[in-house]
Amino acid sequence: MPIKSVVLIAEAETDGNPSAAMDLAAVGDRLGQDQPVGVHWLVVGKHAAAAGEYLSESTGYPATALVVPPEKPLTGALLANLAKPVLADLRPEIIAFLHTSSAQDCVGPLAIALEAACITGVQGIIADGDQFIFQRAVFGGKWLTEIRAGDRPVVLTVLPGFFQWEDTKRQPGPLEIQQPSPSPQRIRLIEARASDCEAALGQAETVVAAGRGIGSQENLDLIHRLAACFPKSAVAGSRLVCDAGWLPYSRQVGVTGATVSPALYLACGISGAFQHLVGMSGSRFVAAINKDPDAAIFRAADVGVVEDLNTFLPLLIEALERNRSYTA
Amino acid sequence: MKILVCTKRVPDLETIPTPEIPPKSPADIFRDGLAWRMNRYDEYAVEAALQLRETTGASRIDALTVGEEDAEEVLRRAMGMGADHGVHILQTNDRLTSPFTIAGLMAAYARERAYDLILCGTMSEDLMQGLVGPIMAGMLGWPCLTSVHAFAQSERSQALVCEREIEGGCQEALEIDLPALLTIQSGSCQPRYPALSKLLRANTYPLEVFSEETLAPADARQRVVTVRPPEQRREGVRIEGSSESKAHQLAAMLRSKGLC
Ligand SMILES: Cc1cc2nc3c(=O)[nH]c(=O)nc-3n(C[C@H](O)[C@H](O)[C@H](O)COP(=O)(O)OP(=O)(O)OC[C@H]3O[C@@H](n4cnc5c(N)ncnc54)[C@H](O)[C@@H]3O)c2cc1C
Ligand SMILES: Nc1ncnc2c1ncn2[C@@H]1O[C@H](COP(=O)(O)O)[C@@H](O)[C@H]1O
Repeated sequence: MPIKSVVLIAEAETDGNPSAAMDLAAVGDRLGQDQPVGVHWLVVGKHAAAAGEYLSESTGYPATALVVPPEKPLTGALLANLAKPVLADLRPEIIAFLHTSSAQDCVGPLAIALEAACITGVQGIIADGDQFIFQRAVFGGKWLTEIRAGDRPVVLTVLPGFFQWEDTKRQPGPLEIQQPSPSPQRIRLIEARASDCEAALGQAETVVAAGRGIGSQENLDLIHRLAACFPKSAVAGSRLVCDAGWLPYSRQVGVTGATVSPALYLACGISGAFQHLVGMSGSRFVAAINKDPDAAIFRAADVGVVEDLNTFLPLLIEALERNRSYTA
Repeated sequence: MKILVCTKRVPDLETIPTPEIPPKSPADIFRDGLAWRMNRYDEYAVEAALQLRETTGASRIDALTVGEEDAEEVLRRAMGMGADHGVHILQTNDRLTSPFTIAGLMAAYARERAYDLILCGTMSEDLMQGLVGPIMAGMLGWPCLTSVHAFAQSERSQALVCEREIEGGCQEALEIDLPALLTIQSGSCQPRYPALSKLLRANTYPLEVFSEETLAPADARQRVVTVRPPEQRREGVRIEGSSESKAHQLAAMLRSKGLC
């Protein structure tokens, strides 16, 4: 059986160990479970040399680092342009990115350039003879689809949190450092601003999160009263709640908002789209209230209650308050 | 400036059930009794096009959809919101069509028609790929930015300045040369609701209709082979009983775990 070649593409624009890329390393191992694969890192960005050294040493996979000059901030388009010649050289059957904003800019055009298939948001991989089938969620996480890419190479983006890296002792892989000089780009980064997510969200022991199922801004009062039943609590929301202006964006939990890992996450009227789950999957205990028994959030919760928030939250608040007066 | 907005008709997620037995054919998940509407992110894309026209006096906004006959609804809605013209690529759709096929049809339409800007939604709410726009940009050889929530004309001519939110709530401003393709993310400026009178008028406008064969379909490259319910990631114990009883059980459970 010919050995399949896999390239994992890691962005290295920020300093420090690229820990998120370990999810990709786990994808490399997952692909190698059922058939022999040759895995290679392509690390791109300002800090590619250090990141490439870390990744090749900790995973044992060889790495090519493309060190981008600091005056050329990495965009998805630049990433695609720099990756293209290296990929044309390595001719991989599988190219995997983490599901980041720049990856989403870059994978479609890259697939066209490489005449490849393209599957985003991959959360599972199954062997199918000498091919692979890739799993991804549809319908807000209510269903999984399984996709086959045929004989072409395939470009993937992989969701964080679905592939776990197992740290075993490995021989460090070789590292090659290149310093490309990017040509002028049709997309230019003008400004990058830091997140304004509220620090209180990260420190809270209980996060009570409102989704669009709360129905109106007035009903947020119930969410605040519910939060008041817990010490060290904070109120958060899904993106749709923040878009509606019911809560400020600084209180949004999810991929484009805050990441929280409280002892208790109470999801009220949240459907459970992966963009939201990414921000709260580290919570110790998750309770979900939703009127749709099929809502995806119930698969990501420790305990679930199928109820209408309008009637259920007042009852829950009462029960918690009674609870409290017993303990007091 | 000539703008093309791609709009898709999608089922309302709340009407999609999760039966325990996977359907015989993947496309069977689109069953009867679903409520359909315009993809929410595409409403934002139409709104963004209308606002650009209000500030820059763009010359024309066309709405484009690929789908079965009923998909016409989204073009009527886009025109009710203020788009000038509707284009329908008729497709006998199994609704799990490859993004390469959809993008190929739309790129075939857009090529040679001198658009300056193409807007898509950041993703379709049913298939959630975020791919049709970027693939189309690749096919046209245009630059592409995803998940943009606001943009305006740049001081440089033939360029836009785009704002977007990336991982962890960080923000970026980027400049992109035209012609370009943007995918539009939801944001604080809500899409306008078409007035009834405008909707009624839009129903009388002629649409430009193409069959997929006339646009030379592209290779699908990939295929959905199965659909199944996702796995439980956590235990997901259901609390049963009357509403009062559920509230008490939940409160008791949280207390027993020392969570309140
Ligand atoms: C690039 C990108 C980035 C994104 N980033 C984020 C992010 O950071 N954070 C985020 O949250 N989302 C994000 N999203 C959006 C995400 O995909 C979902 O659209 C969003 O999380 C859904 O919010 P929701 O669950 O509040 O609303 P919906 O999906 O509309 O769900 C509402 C839920 O409430 C339930 N419900 C309705 N009425 C009631 C009632 N009376 N009682 C009980 N339940 C009820 C419904 O059954 C439904 O399950 C992003 C999307 C994209 C494309
Ligand atoms: N059948 C279609 N007709 C028109 N536009 C579409 C269609 N499918 C996808 N799109 C556009 O592509 C975006 C992303 O879709 P997807 O790649 O499926 O997530 C949507 O928001 C639409 O703007």
